[in-house]
Amino acid sequence: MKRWTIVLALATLVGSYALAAEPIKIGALYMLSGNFANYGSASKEGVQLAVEEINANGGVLGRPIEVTFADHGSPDQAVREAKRLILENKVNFLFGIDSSSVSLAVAPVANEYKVPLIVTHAATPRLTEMCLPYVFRTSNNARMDSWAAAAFAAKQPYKRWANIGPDYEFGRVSWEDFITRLKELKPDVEVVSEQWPKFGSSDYSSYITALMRAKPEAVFSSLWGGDFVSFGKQAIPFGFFKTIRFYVNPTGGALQALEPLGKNTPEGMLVSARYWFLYPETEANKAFVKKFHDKFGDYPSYNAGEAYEGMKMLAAAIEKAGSIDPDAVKAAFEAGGGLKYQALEGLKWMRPADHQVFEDLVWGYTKNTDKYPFAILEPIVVVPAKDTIYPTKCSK
Amino acid sequence: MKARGWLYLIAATLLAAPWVLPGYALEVAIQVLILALFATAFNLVFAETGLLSFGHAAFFGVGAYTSALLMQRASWPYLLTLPAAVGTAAALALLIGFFSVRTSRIYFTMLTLAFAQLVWAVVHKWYAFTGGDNGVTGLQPGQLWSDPHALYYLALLLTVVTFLLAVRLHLAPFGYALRAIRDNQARAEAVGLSPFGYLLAAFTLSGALAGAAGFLQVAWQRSAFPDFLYWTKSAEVIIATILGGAQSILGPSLGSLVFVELGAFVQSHTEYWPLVLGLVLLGLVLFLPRGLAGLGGARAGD
Repeated sequence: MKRWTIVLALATLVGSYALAAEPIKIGALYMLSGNFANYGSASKEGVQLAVEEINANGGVLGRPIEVTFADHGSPDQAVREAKRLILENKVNFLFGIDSSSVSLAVAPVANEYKVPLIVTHAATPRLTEMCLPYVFRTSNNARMDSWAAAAFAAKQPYKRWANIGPDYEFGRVSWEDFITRLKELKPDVEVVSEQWPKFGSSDYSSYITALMRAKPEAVFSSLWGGDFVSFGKQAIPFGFFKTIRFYVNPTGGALQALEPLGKNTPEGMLVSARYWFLYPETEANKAFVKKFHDKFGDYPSYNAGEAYEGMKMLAAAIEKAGSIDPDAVKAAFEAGGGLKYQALEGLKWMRPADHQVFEDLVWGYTKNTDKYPFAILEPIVVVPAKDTIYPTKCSK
Repeated sequence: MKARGWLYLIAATLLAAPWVLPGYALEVAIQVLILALFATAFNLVFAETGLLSFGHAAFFGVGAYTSALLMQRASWPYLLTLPAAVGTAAALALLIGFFSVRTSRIYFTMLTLAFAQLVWAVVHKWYAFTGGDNGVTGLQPGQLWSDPHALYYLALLLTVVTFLLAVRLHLAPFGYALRAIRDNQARAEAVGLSPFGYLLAAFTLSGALAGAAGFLQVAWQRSAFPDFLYWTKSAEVIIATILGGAQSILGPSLGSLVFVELGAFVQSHTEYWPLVLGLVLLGLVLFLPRGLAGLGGARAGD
């Protein structure tokens, strides 16, 4: 009788140990093929490094993290892949997403299956304004970038503003948010030109000349990735950057844009990076950059940094929740006025109402140096989180 | 007798599938049915009239958007949006067809492509109504149709109806007339057939049924995006049809099965899936010029 009790106790112990060591499964969706695959692969590297570190330190709740990566493709392919990860791989969390439209397609599906989705890159404000209970974003969104840009712009003496942005939701919303906010802060600005090249255009000359004809003092631009590179290369010979006094771009601080431009990058552009690998100059950040560089042979771009931090922040939430139950993790993100997580780049605060993270935003002026084959941000200017906190329609 | 045995077997497999397939496989099976319906609809024009439409995504997408917008903005129950989706797709097909079917071969192809891209641009840009590139998201087609089992049977029903319609049409005088026009328009006219009317009718019917496929896609995906109307979607249905064999009535369905399953399988294994998929399709087209259905030697009308 007594022997049976011992066996039973041992079995329970072994059983619970086996249970405890069962991995936490995360399905990560990134853009791994096509024109913007360099964004997706950088994010993937950030996740890999974070998971490696977490698992080396004993995992989360004593359980290792196991990530399955998937290429998200177009919205309908992404929904299929999300369903595969949920139904076949039985993931506990969905993670990542580069494209805004893909995030809008996947979020309701993840929410329906009660599999929490943590978004680390897609930046449409609409995602968090859907107010879905199981959807979180651990990086800043385009509206916060626009508000930060407006905060800078309001301090400048320039009144004649113009815009050039990709002709789709992101470009339109970025400009609308920017100019609305700027007019609130500085009512006497005027808009002299708006240029809307197609997303993915290769020829910008007509837009550049149209912009220059309008004689703006300052230009806001949300061209990103390859568009930013093509525009920059074509605008230099026109003398565009010499005729305008101030150029601000909320996505220009991406290494995917600065590296191809190399030493030709115009200096003095005010650009944002969400995460910039040289900021802050803390030991922790330096160690991260070194580790990343040793492992992948490249510096961490902003979205690699955000993917890395997103994974760490999710791990912190699970740890705080004490379980991987979706409702417990949701509560952990929301409790105590929202989860505060100390990231390399500063404090990330999860607003409980809409599950959007707010943080200090890193901006800087482009400058070519001898140390790097591409332009870096110098000097760096930081917009405090409080300047980017916009109202939300979600309520808790 | 042998053919009937096969028919029973296929019917039993299709009916039993939701109870055998695990969750994700069932989701993929629904996608197969949707593409099969779309491809069979497309082939009504392609095989019977010989006209290659490169604009069928427009009908698929308009059907999807009709259903999605009615659910989102007017809170219509999902099933009721079916006639509306089919109706709008038919109306659009009538309009595009009116201008396109008079032209022949390559001009028809280019014209349908141009019209479809035009419709895509409208959907993509009209933020106030279609949501632009944000699409229409977060749809809940009700308790019942959110369940994959129910959706599977609905998709199966619509696909089978379309399939039977295609068979019926093929054997009807209407089908003969279309093929007569395809093979020799001058002679067809000489015996008193009016090509314009026949071609327009076939094109409209085909567009309407493509709209039904879009209607199903909305329930599966819970959202509608401009991608549904983009030319790549038109290419998808062409590839599936040619892969399966356009000259066989079962070809488009067979092609859809292979195309979707292959896509799902390859994409889950490698990020270089477009390359792998391209190579496999290239091989199939090169070595099976009559499509997969050509393997069995089955031809339409046999």
